[in-house]
Amino acid sequence: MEEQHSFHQKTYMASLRSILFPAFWGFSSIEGLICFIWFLNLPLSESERAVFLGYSIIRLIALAVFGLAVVYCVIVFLKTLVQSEQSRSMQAAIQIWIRQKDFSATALLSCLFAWALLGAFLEIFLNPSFFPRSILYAFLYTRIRPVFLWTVLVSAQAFITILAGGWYQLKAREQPEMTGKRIRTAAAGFFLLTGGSLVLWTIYLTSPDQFINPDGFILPAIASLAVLLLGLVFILQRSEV
Amino acid sequence: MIDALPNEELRKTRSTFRSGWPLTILFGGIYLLMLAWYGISSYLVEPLVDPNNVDRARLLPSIFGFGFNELRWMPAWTAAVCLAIIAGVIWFIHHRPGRAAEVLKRAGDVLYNRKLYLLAVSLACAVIFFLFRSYLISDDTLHFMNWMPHQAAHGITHVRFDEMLESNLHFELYKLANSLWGWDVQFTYNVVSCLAGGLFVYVLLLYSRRLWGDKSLALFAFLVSGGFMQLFFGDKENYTLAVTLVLIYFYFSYKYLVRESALITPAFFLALAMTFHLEAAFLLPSLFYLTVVELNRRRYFTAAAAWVILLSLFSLVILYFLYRGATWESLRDTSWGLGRGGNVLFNIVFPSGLMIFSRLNMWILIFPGIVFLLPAVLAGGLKLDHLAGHILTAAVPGLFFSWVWISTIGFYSDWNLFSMPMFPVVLLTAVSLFRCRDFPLKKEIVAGMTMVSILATYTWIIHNHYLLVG
Repeated sequence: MEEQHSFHQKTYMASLRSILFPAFWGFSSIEGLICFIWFLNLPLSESERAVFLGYSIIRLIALAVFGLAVVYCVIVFLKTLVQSEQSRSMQAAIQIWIRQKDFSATALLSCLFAWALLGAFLEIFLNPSFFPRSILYAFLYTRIRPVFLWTVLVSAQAFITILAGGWYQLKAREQPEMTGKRIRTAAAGFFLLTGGSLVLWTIYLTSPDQFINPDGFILPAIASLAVLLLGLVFILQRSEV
Repeated sequence: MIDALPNEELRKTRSTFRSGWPLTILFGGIYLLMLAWYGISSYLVEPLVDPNNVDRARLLPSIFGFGFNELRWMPAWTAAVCLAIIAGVIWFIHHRPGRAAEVLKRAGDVLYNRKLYLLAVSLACAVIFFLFRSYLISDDTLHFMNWMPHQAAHGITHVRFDEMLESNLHFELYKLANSLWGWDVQFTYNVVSCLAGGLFVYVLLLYSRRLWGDKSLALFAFLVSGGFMQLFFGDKENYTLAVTLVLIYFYFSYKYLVRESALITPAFFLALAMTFHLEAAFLLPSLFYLTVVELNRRRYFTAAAAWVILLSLFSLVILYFLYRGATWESLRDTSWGLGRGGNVLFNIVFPSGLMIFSRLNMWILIFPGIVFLLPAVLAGGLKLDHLAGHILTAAVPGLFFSWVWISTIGFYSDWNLFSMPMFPVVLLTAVSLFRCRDFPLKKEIVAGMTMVSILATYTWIIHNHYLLVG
């Protein structure tokens, strides 16, 4: 029965990967082509730095590298559609690499996630309609945005594909992280600090005039308590179980 | 100790050299070149008229500039006597290696036998730091001496976004000490800096012991041979406490890697370091490295919790100062890290011309031993384990920052700004040097470099103490 379940699970995962893998390359190709055309349509470089067709050296190098990356995605996508055997061998190679290089695979996933998060962060904080002062950086962000956004999209898609396709196994820990009492204390400290921060920020943002009190002591007291409890948390978390 | 790391996390890099003598020639050559450079710079080449401004300087004084010529404050005959003593110590190490190692081991065993001895040594160091406190005054110090009494008299909270708790803590301590004992701004900074130095020495002794066991005192001596130690000799700017917290961060990062601490602890100290000085944000990639290790151990809650706590703590400190009456505009517009009301990218410039030598001088001033970094890496000192990985992810952004960030008051005066980002480079140099393969005369060369660096560094430091005399 268990063997049958395991067999069904493996078959299911194999089918899922056969969809996810070409889908990843397909979406990356389409997004890449759109971003490449967007990049081509950016305003030309300043005349004194223009080398070829109105583009500067840096822009030409970026175009070349970006173009090659998009072409690579398109080629791999087409191969996954036409040559299924080659697609399966690529998937197997990725699987073997992830299994053999656990730390590197974790690092890759972390970097993909962090890059996607950075992209989301910059899209908000470099948007002049949300933060007018970010207009100071518009000259740079406008130029790098097509390439940057594409790498962010590819990172997010790669992260989801690797996890959803089961290439990276979210194995359970070998040992429990903490005992019951320490879990509760740690959680209490964590939620007090983060919850307290959210509450205080909400109060400040909604009623700043009532919040500010240069001679007051309540807020420092609350903050001190939170930090003390945090100290308790990390003292209790000093050693592994 | 680093050898306690699991085998599967250790991978030896192949040394470039097959036998040891090429390494001896390389390291020995660099050491002798440094000796010669110190001598020429200090006694044969005229110094830069203004070490903070190389725009109109000539090439030769720039090349032999302030990173190399601090021995000039010592009469040549005194320097010769010191070098003779150094030569004698090297002779002793060479001809009595067992005895030398025995002396070092015994000293370490006595010192580390009880925490009380470590505390006593740290306190003694704090007293020495105070006795030789610096009278070097930079532009920033002049500002503090003008602002703080005025702000204290008018009930204004002193805080700068780039150095929130560091600036505010100094200010509050000045107010208290001035009201109780009549201390001025300079003296308050002197005392805080020296006390921080005591704590720094204590943690560094512990860290050295964990890294290198019975050779910990040799490692400790190498680490404190750099000019960044001037921070603890009464430096009157806002970097001292932050650098101490950075060291504590590295210490707990090591303990985390050998599974004696949770990730939350180094994350907490990094958050604290950032609230003391925003410059510590260059260490975020190294915390990211530790997070990858944590995820690799499949501990997802603590990996996320560490970052949430870092952000929460940092935001709470900002909120605290907003509560005390600071405004977003005043915090943002005075911050160099946020562009000081303008574009922060204007603070980042790749050096060219004589500016390159100025930066190299600054690096050598902060840590002369950095000349051994590249050779140590080539000699297989950069082993691909988590300790090296962590320090490397801290050192690379630190080195990059030190290479491109503009100093508005000149690199000689801003040596303390660059001490913090250079600190992981100092650690990387020491760890790589001590871990690289053995070669003939290695102990002698490392000891010689340590002693010469100490001579140059502490000549400068002591000179800064006597600035007001004569």
